[in-house]
Amino acid sequence: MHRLRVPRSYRSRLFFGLGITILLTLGFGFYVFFKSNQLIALVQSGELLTSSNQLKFVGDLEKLAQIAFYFFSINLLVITALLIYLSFSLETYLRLILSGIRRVNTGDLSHRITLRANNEFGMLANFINQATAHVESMVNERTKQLSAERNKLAITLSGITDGVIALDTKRLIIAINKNALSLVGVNNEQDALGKPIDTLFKLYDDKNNEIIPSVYAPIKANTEGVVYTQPTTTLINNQQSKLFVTITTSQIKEGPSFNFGCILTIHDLTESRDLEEMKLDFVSMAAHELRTPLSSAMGYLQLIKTEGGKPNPEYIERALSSTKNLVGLIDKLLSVAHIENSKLALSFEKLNINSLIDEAVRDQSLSAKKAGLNINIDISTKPVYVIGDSLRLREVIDNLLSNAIRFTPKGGQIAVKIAQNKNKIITTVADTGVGIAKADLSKLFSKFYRVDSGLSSSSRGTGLGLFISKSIIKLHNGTIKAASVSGKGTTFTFTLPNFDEAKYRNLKK
Amino acid sequence: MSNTHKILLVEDEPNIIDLYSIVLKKAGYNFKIAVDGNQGLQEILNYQPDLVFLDIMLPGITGLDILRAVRQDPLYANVKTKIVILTNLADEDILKQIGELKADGYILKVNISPPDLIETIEALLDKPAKAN
Repeated sequence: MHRLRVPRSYRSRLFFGLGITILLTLGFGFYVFFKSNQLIALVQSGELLTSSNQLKFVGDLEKLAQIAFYFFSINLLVITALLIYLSFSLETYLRLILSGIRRVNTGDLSHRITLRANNEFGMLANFINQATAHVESMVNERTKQLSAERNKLAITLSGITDGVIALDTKRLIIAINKNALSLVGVNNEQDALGKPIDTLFKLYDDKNNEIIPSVYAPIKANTEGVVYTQPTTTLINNQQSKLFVTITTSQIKEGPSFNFGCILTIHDLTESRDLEEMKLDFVSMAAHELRTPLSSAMGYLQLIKTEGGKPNPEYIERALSSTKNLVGLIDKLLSVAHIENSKLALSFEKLNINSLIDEAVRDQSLSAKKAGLNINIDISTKPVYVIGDSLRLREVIDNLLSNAIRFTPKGGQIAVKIAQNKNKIITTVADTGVGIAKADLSKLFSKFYRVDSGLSSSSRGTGLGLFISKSIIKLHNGTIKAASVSGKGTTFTFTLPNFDEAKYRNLKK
Repeated sequence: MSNTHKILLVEDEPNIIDLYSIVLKKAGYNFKIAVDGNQGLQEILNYQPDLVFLDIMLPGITGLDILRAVRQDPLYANVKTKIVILTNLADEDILKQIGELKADGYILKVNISPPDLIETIEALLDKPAKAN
């Protein structure tokens, strides 16, 4: 719908006011002109000589003066009112517009001037509003672009698997990525920004001397690129954790003489170093373990050779049993290789887990007795069937039992128990042994891990037993876990799924 | 053949204990066996052996601890026994420690035959004894 626009512009109002004044002035002019002509004619005709006419003339002249006075007074009033109105409304509008501009100026780009007037000021306010809206949308667009850039940068930084820290020339942190935060042990970025670099961590060389920031984060004039690198450094972080890292520092140069600061890259070697150590440990331990039965077998064979004549059957028996141990060890190593290649082949069959475990306990009871330990067994005489590889499951239970025997002091107890619920069969092997520290529990089932890496004979072993056990149980769709109280004992629990007739029939096909 | 020298074997592996017992008995040596670290340390004081064959991986105290105690602890200042490390460990780190603690010998079990064992004993005990 088109609405008729009443011209209400200031120009038209002003012209309207002036028009009225001009019209009034013209009207009055004509009236004075006409009246004065009449009076002049009256004077020329000599009719002024009669007293009655004289009186009328004077009366008319007075009237004229009166009208002139009223007219000027009214004109003055109209013009004054017009000016007052103009100045007040101008001021109001200008104030409104100025305060609007001021608000926009202070940064509130979303502010719009509310001036719904159909005049120049309305137009001006509208124009300012439009301009502000335009600027606002431009700013929003740019901000979006900028934050997208920033996000890209933040994502890129956090995507770098190394820790990255940017420093200014005073070695205060100006940027830090997520990995650097977790390496130095700080949760919140805000807790790191603006802080001196050496308040977050300390670095030590391989002789345990502290490396100071001016060495690892040098601020040199006119240098660019890598300014410091140390392949193996010890880093003690905010949480007092010890890490092995590679530190590389490169310098940023902005302009010919102005150094921006430097960027530290922290590459964490702790895990790979730990694994490397475990591997080395494993190799020397595996060598030791292989040599032990080998030295015994060779010794007895050499004894037979030096004695000559008919060999002592006892020596032959000893050499044979040592060789058997050796074969067992090599099988263990091969199992690990097979697990690594996912080639550990199991031959599943229907078997009675109760009798399997009972047998294993009976076989180990002699070595338990020798160690001064008692094995309690809580297994029902009723068969409990599972689908499993009897040799491999035997390996698991043998491993758990021999661990329990090895780590339980004389006079201790070992309890073996089988329970069953509607989903699974739960086997527990609990001992009253030395227990396992919390820190070790989580690593217990990892390859090469030995709880005690010292030279005590209790720490003997390849560190593979539990790793193999876990892999075997996993291949049976079961779980294995350990719970322990240091000094009180350890309980290993493994579960196997209940016997499933349909699955078994499928297996047989 | 009889011999007045006393030998202490600190070893926990039953097969090896039996093997060396046979060899030492045949050679006519007096010897005693300690099956763990604590027993080994006690026997060094009580039995006063001329030579100790010392395994490193032992229950309780390790062979290296025993060697360190004998070489450094004032309690063992009067112990003049020779110590030969008899182990299957061959770590660089362990070899370094054995060297620093001045063991009289280091033998890898897997490399030694019964006649070698006797030869080692003779080289360490009999010859200086004859020279005296």
